[in-house]
This record gives sequence, structure tokens and C-alpha cells, in this order.
Amino acid sequence: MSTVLYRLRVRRDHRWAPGHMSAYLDGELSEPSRARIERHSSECPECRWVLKSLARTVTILRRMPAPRGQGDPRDLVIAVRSRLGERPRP
Amino acid sequence: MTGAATPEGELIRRAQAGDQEAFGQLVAAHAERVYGGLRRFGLDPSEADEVAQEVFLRAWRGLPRFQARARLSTWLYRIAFNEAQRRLSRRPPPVIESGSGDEDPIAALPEAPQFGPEALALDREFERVVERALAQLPPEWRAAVVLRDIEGLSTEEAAAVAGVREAAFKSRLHRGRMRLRALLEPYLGLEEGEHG
Ligand SMILES: [Zn+2]
Repeated sequence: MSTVLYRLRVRRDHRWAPGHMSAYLDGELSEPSRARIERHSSECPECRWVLKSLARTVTILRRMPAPRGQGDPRDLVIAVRSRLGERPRP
Repeated sequence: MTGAATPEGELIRRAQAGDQEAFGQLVAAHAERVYGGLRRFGLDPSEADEVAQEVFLRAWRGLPRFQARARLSTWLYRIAFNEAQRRLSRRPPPVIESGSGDEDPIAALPEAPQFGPEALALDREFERVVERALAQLPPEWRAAVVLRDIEGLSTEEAAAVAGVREAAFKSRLHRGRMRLRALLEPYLGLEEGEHG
């Protein structure tokens, strides 16, 4: 492929790739699209970085623990049960 | 009552028939996740306590219409999501600090350049960085990230909870993830050599 065509193709892929990175990470892209992301990441350091840091971000989110500071669930049970009669079922 | 845990389906049937004791067991089993979801959707601790009660009271009233095919946890999330959005919509819009309008949002995060790859162990300080970054997302994007990535729901379930089609949900999720990526970029501890 000529250098000019190659550059045009990389530029097109560069515009296309970022919008498809989430779907790529979730395994939701078609095979040609998946290959296109992978090819572009190998050609473009900027998109390679974005994809890598996006993957890292998702990994971090998956490891987030439950928020702290919740009271005893039994208190919630007591509070809720004491209010069940407040608004009877329709 | 026996010591063995009663299967959830059985508790649901009893609660649907009006058994408050059975419903109390369901509340106990789901309290933590509902509370956690409410906090992650953006409510502060005291709001989450209050709204969690509201969620379960609504669930009690709606339980006769609950379809056994659905997962109770997803159904409760849907109620929690709606209650949280309602509460958040009553808040005044966030005040943008200092008027210039083109502030770097990363400036709102604490200085912590010392975090290296070990930050991925998610120590408390790094957790707070992530929480503050989440707090900077628009509520809909934030909810998408919470449901899919933090709570681990499937795309289908998460879209059902958020009450939108999967395509719309995926768009919110992608935007939320990309914004978070930009906010967390200085903390990711990836090798500089990878940075083009
Ligand atoms: Zn690129």
C-alpha cells in the first residue's frame, strides 16, 4: 500500500477507534471491528495508550469495594418492618 | 424457624402473600447491596440510609407484581436507581468552582503522584481518588459505570435497571469510562514508555 493511502487509513482508524474501545473491552465488537482496533493500536501510540489506560480503569472499577459506613442491616430491617403497615398494598 | 437458610424464591412467595417476617429476611439479605448502590449512584450516607428504607417499602408494595422470572436483586436495583435519580434531580446543579469554565477537572482530585502500580491494590487513599472522580461524572454516566463495572451487572440487566435501551446504555457507559480514564490517567501508574 502506498504511504499516502496508509496514512489516510490510519487517520480514519484513529477517528473511529476511540468510540469503540468500550465495546472492544466488553467483547461486543464484530470480528472485523475487533481486528481493526487491534491493528490500529499496534500502529498508533496514542490510541494504544488510551486503550490500555481504559482497560486499567475498568479493572480498577471492578475492584472497588462496597462503600463503607453503612449501619447494621438489622437496623434497616427493623425500620422497614415497623413501616410496612404505613402504606398498605394497593 | 429452622437454622438453614430458606431459598430466596420461597421467601419471595411468602412475602408476596403478606408474610412480613419473610420480607424482613429479604431486606436483610439485600440491604448491603441496595445501600451500596445508592451511595455509588451519588447519595451521601444519611440520604442512602433514608432512601434505602423507601426502596424496600416500595418493594413491599410492588412485590405482588414482581415476576419470579426476574432476579430480585436486579429489580431492587431498578427501584433504588429510580429513587436515587429522583433524589439527585432535586439537588441544585453542582456549582462549578471559580468562574473560568475551562478548569482542569483533574485539579479537583488530590495530589498523589506517588501512586505507582501498587495503587492497583486499591488502598483507601486511592479508593477516595476513584470516588472523587466518579462524583465528577454526570449522574447518568456515573450510574452506567456503577451498574456495569462496579456492581458487575450484564449489559442487558444494567440497561434494564437504568430503563434505557442497550445501545443508549452502552453509549453512557463508554462516555463515563472515557471520562474516568481521563480523570484517573495521572494515577494509573502505567509505564511512561507506553505513553505516545
Ligand atoms: Zn489512533
